[in-house]
Amino acid sequence: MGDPPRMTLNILKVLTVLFEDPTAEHYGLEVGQAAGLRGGSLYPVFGRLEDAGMVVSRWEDVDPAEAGRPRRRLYRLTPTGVVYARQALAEARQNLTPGQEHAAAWGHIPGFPVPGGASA
Amino acid sequence: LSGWLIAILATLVTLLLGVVKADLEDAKVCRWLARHLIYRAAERLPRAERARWREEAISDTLALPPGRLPPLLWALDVYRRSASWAQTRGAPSRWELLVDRVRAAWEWVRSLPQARMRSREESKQHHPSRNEETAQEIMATAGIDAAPAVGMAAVGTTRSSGTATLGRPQQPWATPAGWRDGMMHLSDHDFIRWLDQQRQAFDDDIDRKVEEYRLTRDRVLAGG
Repeated sequence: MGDPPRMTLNILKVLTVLFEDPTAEHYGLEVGQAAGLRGGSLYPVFGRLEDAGMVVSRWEDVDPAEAGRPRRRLYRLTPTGVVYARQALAEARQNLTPGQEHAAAWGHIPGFPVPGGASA
Repeated sequence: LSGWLIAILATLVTLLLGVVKADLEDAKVCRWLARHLIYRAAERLPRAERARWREEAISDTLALPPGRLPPLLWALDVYRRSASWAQTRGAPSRWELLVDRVRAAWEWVRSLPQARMRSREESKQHHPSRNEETAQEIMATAGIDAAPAVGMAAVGTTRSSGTATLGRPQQPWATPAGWRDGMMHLSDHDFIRWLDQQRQAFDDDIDRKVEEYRLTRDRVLAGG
């Protein structure tokens, strides 16, 4: 297992989709459509997550002739990946919430979110 | 003139776009193009990973909603980002590839004189005059029997000039090595002398034949 990948917006999007149901397996296109990513951005993210041991993948166990389509590559979060995703998503939410310095500057605006849940 | 040029160019572009549009309206062409782009993108990845990503990307394009453009756009995006993707997978960058190619080309250019010298040496080694085995092989392949050749050479030299070999053995053609020993050892001076003698012998032979012809002709005319 490698080091945790450098957090990027694309990684965050993929983790969000996978974290919705950590035990479920998703194929690339499904995750891409849910995360709003196309192949060129999606596959590198899967590669990095897999290298870091956050995600495992396997080929779908179907007969292409019977299914009428080629087999798919299925991805699932590992236990380490679940912990990492939870932490990363929590950090991202926290970073997206305005801090005290913003509250001081913008808190007088009605509806502006302030740390602690109350709004101005 | 520029107006005509623009009109011609516009016509050509319109025709070209029409052809491209007609092709893109064919779903099979789009699928083929998408597959081709994915193959090209996968070629940039490290060898061990190509098959897996290629299969996955193609599988995903086939799972896209039916239509001409979605698979093509998906494949285009994969291709567009494949260079940076390949770098994250450990493949060399384009710049590194370019440097490697230039370096390889430079090494090749530098090695040319040595290769030429080596080739020349090999060629010399295999030349019949240097290599008896090669000479025998060539003669065998050509169906040349050494014995008649020796006989012919002996007759030729005897008839043309008794001193053709300058006192050397009378079988210079017995083997290539013999030929070499019989001829190649001569100095320039001796070789020119030998050539002179050969030429003189040839002229004498011609004169003799002409004289014989005249005599025969006169005899025939007198008899007739």
